[in-house]
Amino acid sequence: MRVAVRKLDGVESVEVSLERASADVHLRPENQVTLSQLRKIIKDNGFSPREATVTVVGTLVERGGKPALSLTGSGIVWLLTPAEGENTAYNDALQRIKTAPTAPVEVVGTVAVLSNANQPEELSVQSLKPASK
Amino acid sequence: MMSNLKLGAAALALILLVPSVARAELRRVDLKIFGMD
Repeated sequence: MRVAVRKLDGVESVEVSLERASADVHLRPENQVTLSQLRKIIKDNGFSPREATVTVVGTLVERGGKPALSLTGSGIVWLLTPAEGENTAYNDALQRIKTAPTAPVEVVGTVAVLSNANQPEELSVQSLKPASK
Repeated sequence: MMSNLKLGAAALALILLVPSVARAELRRVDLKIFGMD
């Protein structure tokens, strides 16, 4: 599994931990790797992917009156939701959509596995800051 | 046809001139895996 993930163009490092039952993947700038690609590799190796904690850079957009993060170029849009007990980052996203909608932001949050593949994916926001150059 | 070309050229120029637009991506993924524990 580690080898298969490493083969993806844009992967910098992969650390698979049996203790934590997780794969920690670091990606190079300008990569085109998607969460779906990583999940597929996990599945192809006989395991089941669960939630993912991601650090992602994108642009804030509105979808049906709700804040969302658009990964420009990939067409992927994740609806944003507040993380449990953490409203600050979510509120910051709401504010930024009004004040600086085109500025890229770096978001850390959790993406759950959906039971219905047709449902839009949600990113539970833990922190949000302007993207570093 | 011509307007499509102009539109395409404008989009390309935008991507080249505004690197932040093209820079959106995953930086790190910590994926929990069932079946390993």
